[in-house]
Amino acid sequence: MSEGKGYSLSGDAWRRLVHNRAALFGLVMLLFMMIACVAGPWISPYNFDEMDLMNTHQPPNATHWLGTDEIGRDLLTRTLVGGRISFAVALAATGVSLVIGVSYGGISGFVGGKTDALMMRVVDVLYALPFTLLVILLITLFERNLILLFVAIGAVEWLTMARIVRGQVMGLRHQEFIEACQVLGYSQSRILFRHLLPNVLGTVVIYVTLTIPSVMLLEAFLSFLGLGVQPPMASWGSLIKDGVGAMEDFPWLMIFPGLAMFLTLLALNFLGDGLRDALDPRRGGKS
Amino acid sequence: MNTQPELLSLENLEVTFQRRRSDIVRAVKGISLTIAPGETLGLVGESGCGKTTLSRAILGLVPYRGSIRCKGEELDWKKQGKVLRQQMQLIFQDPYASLNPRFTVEQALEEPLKVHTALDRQARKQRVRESVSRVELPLHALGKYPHEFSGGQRQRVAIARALMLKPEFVIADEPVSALDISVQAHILNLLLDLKNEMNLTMLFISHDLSVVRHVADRVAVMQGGEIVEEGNCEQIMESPQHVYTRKLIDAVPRLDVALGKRS
Amino acid sequence: MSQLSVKELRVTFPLRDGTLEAVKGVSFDLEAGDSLGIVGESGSGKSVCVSTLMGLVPRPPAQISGQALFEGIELCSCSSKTMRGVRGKRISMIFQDPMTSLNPHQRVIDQIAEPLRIHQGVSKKEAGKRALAAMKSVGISDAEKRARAWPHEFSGGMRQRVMIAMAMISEPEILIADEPTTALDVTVQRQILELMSELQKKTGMSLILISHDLAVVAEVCERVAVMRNGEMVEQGTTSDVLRNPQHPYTKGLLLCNPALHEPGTRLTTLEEVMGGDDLCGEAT
Repeated sequence: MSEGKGYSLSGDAWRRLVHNRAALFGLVMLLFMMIACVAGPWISPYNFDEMDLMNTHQPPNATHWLGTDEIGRDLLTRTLVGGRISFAVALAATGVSLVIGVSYGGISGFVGGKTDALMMRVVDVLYALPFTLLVILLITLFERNLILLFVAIGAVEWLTMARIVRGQVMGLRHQEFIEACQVLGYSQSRILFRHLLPNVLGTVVIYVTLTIPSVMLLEAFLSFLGLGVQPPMASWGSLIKDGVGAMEDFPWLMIFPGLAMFLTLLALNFLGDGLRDALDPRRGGKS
Repeated sequence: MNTQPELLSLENLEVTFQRRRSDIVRAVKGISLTIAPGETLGLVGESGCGKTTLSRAILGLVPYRGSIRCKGEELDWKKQGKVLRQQMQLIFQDPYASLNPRFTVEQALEEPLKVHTALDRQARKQRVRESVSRVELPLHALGKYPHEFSGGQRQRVAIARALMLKPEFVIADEPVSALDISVQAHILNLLLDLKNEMNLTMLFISHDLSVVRHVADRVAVMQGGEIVEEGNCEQIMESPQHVYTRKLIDAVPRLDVALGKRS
Repeated sequence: MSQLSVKELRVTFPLRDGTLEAVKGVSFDLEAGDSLGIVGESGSGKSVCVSTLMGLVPRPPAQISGQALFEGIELCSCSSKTMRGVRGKRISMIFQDPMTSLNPHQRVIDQIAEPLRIHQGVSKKEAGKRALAAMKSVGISDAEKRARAWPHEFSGGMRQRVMIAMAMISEPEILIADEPTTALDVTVQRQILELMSELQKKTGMSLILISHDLAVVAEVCERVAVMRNGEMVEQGTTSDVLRNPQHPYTKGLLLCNPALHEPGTRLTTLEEVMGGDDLCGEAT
């Protein structure tokens, strides 16, 4: 480090990220999966709900690269379309939990005192509500649609995020550099959002990489209950669930959607680890 | 110095913390002090004596009773916080904890200017460069993060940050206690130079009597939330009146005394 | 034959890029009943040096070479079983931070008695009795009352006394104290230093006192060694070293003391004493 130029945190973090091989692999892998899921179904000669009763339960072959299911639908196309749903749910729900959880937890931990106690009791109460009941309630009150699914999952996931962020913020709040901010006369919101929360990023990123898989699994669970994605639509969760039923005779129905999900989660984990390191200037990356 | 009006005067300052329902701790018990412009007042005492609490009360970080006046005017943090923050600054003990690990030196030094001044980017950068040179750090330090520096260098950054807004009054809370002895000399020299250059008024808090004797004009000895003795530095060191001051001075290990025992 | 003889001790830690030589060939002798002070600034290798003698430096990763002979036992290469027979029994150690070196979930008296029960298989009752005597000997008033207290009920100075009682209970031949008073107030420091001198005189044990403060060492120790960057730059009797320092670093350490300057004047810095060729801790 002999350069005299100051780096922006993001530029600096990016430099560290691409120097980390595992993280770079994760990033490339994730981008590949996303692009495939978005663009794949357009290129594919099949429709995800196009039945072909002459060609049911085909193993992988030249025309159907990943085989077909019990009513002859192309598994590759279905996996890619399912990936769209899974990604959308994961991103939306995680986004919701990030925005609400980080600001809620940040404010609660930073303000402290009675406000904190009140805000945390609200979280406790929401925690205590059985999740499935909540979703069933939402779905009976409103119409069943995907947006509702995002909202339902996001509404649950932000609770843990808020708790984690609050704990971290409480620990950092009494550090001297925060006191220094107060002495220098920075506004409360500047201290919270510019000085405090960036120091929580590492933990948040790790938790996000844990949230995404759990959101994908939640979505699968809801689909299983018939509350999520409805046939003929598919998601990775519902495909895996269907595949498990037919695993003994037609293993590819489970293996390929499972592989897609596994690779995505693996990529996310690598990327998450790399991001945590990249976002912390104290960790390695000195070139 | 007695003829000059005081820059800062505390009257019957009292700080209490409520731990539980009926457990009230009186950390500062009715302290009255004055500091003249350009003067350095040393505040000496052991851990838990309330010296840090006193400094935080002066800076409006903890609620207090009594009066704190600056140039004869009662401090009002609610109304004049923004102005007062530019006039009064704090240098912390631990240069490892007092700098945000995610801010480069340049960002850390520019931040006060962003908040308090209307300077444009160019002018801010210029001020930051000047202050970095002033605390004798190389310009390539600007792009670095705190963890890349030694303790002494971090303390230089912290000093530069505290002086960024050109305050009149600075509280130095054990600024050299966490540093090695050889580094301590550098930082004390720097502080003395800056104090003279900027005509700073200082409250210098320390547990180390030899350091206080070196930098302070007057000294106040604090014990259990009260000032037990106050006066001219030399005078108190030579002939302390209070038992506690005596005990404190005698407790400091001294090379000449140790050698005397051995000859 | 010295009680403890250290020759050419070298401790190296592997880093991501290259190695860090924390201790670079340090030699010293300690006679029975003697007191040696090791002075140095942070990063001088003084703590690593004595931790190595106690077998507290894990290897690998660390590489250790050289000799440290204690009463016929080679401390640098003995088995961990032999080391357990020495550590905490024949050589005891106390640390800087009395807040974290006591177990918060164990009563004070049980912690003091533990070395006895482990090393000597003393009965619980007997160990308790001796622990109580040890508490009295380190000047804990109301020992009977406070024996069953928890560590958090003690002040910093009292905790350091507990640590000393714990270290002294197995009647060690050498006591190593690593910055024992750095975390304490000056008045408490004074008491602890006096206590250590007194215990040393009474029991005839040897003492190795590590400190960053020359004056602390000078008050307690007959001999002093100055360490810097892993090397021992100077050693000798305390009065020789302080009165007539040979190495420029020792001179610098003595001269940058504010007490030697007129108030408000520029302090002499280490660089000025040592000349510009030798970069010091402040340099990048």
